[in-house]
Amino acid sequence: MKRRAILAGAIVAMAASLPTASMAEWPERPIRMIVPFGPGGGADTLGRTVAEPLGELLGVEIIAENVTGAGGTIGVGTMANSEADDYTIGVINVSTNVVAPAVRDNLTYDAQTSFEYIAMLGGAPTVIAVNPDVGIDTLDELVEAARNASPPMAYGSPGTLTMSNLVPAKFFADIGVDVEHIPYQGASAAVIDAVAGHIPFTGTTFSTARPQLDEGTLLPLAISTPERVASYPDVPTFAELGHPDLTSVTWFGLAAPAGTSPEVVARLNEGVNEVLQRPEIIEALENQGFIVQLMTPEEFRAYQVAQFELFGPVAVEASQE
Amino acid sequence: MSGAGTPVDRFVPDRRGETFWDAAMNKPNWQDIWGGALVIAFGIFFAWYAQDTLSLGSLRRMGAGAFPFAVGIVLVILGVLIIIPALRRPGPKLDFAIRTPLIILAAVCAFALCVPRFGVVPAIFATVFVSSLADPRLTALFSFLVAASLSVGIWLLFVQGLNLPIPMFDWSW
Amino acid sequence: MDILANVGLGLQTALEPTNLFYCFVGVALGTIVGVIPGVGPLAAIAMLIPLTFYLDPTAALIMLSGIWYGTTYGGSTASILLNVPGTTSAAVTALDGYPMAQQGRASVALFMTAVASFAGGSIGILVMMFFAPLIAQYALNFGPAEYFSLMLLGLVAASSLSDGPPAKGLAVVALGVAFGCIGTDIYSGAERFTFDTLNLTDGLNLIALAIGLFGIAEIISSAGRKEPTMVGKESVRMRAMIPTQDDRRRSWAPVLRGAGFGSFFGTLPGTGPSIASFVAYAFEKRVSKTPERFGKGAIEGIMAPESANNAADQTSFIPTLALGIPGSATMALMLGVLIIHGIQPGPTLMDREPELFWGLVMSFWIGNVLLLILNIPLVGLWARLLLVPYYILYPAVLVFICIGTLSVQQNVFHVWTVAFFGLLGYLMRVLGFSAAPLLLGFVLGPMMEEHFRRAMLISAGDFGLFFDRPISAVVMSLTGLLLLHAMYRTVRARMKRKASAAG
Repeated sequence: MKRRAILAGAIVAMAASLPTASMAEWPERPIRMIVPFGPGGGADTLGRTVAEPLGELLGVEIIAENVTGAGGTIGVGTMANSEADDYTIGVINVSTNVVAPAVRDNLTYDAQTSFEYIAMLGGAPTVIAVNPDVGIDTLDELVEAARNASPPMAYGSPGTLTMSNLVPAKFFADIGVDVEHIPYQGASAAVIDAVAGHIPFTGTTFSTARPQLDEGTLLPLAISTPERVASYPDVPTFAELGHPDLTSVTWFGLAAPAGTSPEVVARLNEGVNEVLQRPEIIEALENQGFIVQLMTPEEFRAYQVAQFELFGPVAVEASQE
Repeated sequence: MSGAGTPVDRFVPDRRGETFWDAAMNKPNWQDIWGGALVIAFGIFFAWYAQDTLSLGSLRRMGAGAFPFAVGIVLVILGVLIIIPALRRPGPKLDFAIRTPLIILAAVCAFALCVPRFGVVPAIFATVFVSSLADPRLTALFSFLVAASLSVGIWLLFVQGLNLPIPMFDWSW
Repeated sequence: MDILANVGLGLQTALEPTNLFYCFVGVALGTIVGVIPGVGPLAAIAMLIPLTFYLDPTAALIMLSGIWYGTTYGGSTASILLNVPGTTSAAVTALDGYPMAQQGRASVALFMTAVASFAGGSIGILVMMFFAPLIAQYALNFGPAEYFSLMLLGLVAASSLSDGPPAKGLAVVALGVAFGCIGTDIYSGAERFTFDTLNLTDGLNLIALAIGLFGIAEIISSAGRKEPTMVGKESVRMRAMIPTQDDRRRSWAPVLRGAGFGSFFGTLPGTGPSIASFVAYAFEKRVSKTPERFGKGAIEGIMAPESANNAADQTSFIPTLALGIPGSATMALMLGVLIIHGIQPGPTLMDREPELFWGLVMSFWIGNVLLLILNIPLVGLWARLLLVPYYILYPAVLVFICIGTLSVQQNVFHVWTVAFFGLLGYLMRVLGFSAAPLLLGFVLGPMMEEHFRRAMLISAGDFGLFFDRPISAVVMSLTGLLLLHAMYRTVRARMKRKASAAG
């Protein structure tokens, strides 16, 4: 920033026409956005869907850069350890900033101190879906069946420590019922085994199971959003079934390395929240299975802390199975 | 693989002036004895490390270490099965070089060392110059030309063409 | 007939100038990207994803799938010419393709792989046209038990790839399985053999492993060689491309069988082209009257796997489109494109979006024709690469290997992996181990473990599962037969050797 101040003289005329002197300088060059997951995946499309209009709004290009590996922790570590130059941001999510810090001791960052939390983008809810041939229609019936099953009833998930594993795990742990978790590699693999009847039910991200839910080859019992989803008004939430803690989604957000100036964080948050209120963006994200959520930087940080307290112990438990 | 010369491989083209195995028969088959021994050593390490660091679990709920442990044991058994017949059988002479493998591997390592520190172009030069030691015909001038044209070509192909975020010169990442 | 109307609709869609254009862009880019070892379809597709936001979904999908099967065409080039395979299936093609190149038959090999790819791809498309809904339903029957049985069959088939003592082949497979164990255990989340580095938590990178094992080991063996070039000038003339009558006679049956294996394995989510090409190769070697020619430039050894992996490329769209189940990371990307455009994949897709489905299928055909037209003139050009003096070629190949693996994830750790497996590959050559089965062990091992453990969890530890379920039982008995046949062959060979030694 200081080095740039020398240049400021040259553009003083321009700067005068802009609202505040300090923000006049920012942004004056492209912003680097580190996406810790592979191109084309959920985090990537989500990041890019927001990055482009955000860049237009700020008047600079936002260049997405995929730094992948180790469940996103390599890319998030790269971002956290970059220089806080106000031009480096990155996508973070529930697994890099809630689950991994709870179960891993070899991370290159600290979820609490290494970041400036910028903005929440949204998340993909988890749904518990059952094969219709099992003859279970409600969450209560499932609990009843699982309580009496011997050996314990098995359920699938997109993978150990995904939210679609942790939400059912916390649910059954809270009510004290023993179930057998069978992790898959990705939500679609678990969904297909549930449709085929190899497993009776599965936890899955809502968007992956959508075709099956629409056709009725899978029956949704409960969804992990705070309120019912508009396009599926018949599916009850965990909260209304008496489990208010289970309003957690596979969320994604934006963060910057600790030390990034507060004005920049505020400006970015403002920009993101403006973009996230546009109907076409909301629709595009919903098509990809993301429910948009708006937060201030402070709310976002508090949310991360609360999620960590809620799901950290569940994650530790699940990883020691 | 091709030219890898399995023991029964009589048809490998004699392009590197290799001797045919008939002419270089040794008894016992040292190739398989060494091979088997290394397989056993790796298997023991693998199985030991698996049960040392991971849980084995039960058959129903297999632990993270169960499968690797079994693989390690299988390796040990296969290693023994390789060695036993080799003791009584003739085999090809062990024929290996030290210099060329070291140079080529060093060239790859040079690349890996240079990229994060100086970027891709210096890494290309390092790789070409180190690997040039393996062939006297590749003089310093030649190496320079090869490295320079590769740098331009790779910049065109990877950075301009494929738009991959590869830093040509040092960049923090 | 209904299918005729659909084909007409499909052709009409696929031949629209914009769709034709994007089809060409896709296959051309795929060919280029496929030739460079390491880059692969994922990188190219990811590069074009932002563009697809602005395209009509059909055009977007036509272009992306063009890249997908186009890379398979290009992928065999580097493995035949330089023994640098960028994918598992290309490593199988290299088994006989590279010896052919060394014998001055690179042009024939490249030409024939293009033909085999075209034939295999076409058969895969036919299968897709007629049986997509049927297969999609059938694939649902494959649970953990069936998958495990299939993987076991694949591994037993792979161990017969090498000559020499069977124990050596099996040991290499087991070594591959062992390397496949490295990384995060999907069941417990425990880190296995990662020695506490984040770089190993996703496991070793397949491309880095294959390139090190084959490419680097080959350069180590060949650098400093006396003859400056690999082949003479006469072998790169246009005429040298024409296969002999013997080549043609030997080729057609492996192509058909390969396409059969490819079409089958392609439809199973998660297995796909790599297993298809291994199994097709192993099968050809088994049914051949002259199995000793394999690995030394047998034309069957390139035709079967190339036909298989292209057929699998096409049929892998069946679960993706008909069930909404992507079989690979690349397929997941394509699904993502559909979803971004608001199209839900699933069993009703064919009815809901006939233009998209049939247009795509027909574009595959057009794409395959384009690839054939594109690749045949390139054969002469690629073959000329072998006229470059090797002492200039090998540093260049080394640099491309390094850049290629670096670009996979922009992670320099993969370059270290290449060096490690280069050393291992050379060591294996010195000790007379063939490296190809290691790759299959590496790919199949983790899947085998995954399905075995899942089967045990579901059946509560009962082995009977593998024999109670009909499909699994059939596959298991095939594996048994294969083992018996291998034993019979070994015994017979030993008796023959004894007899000839006595005589």
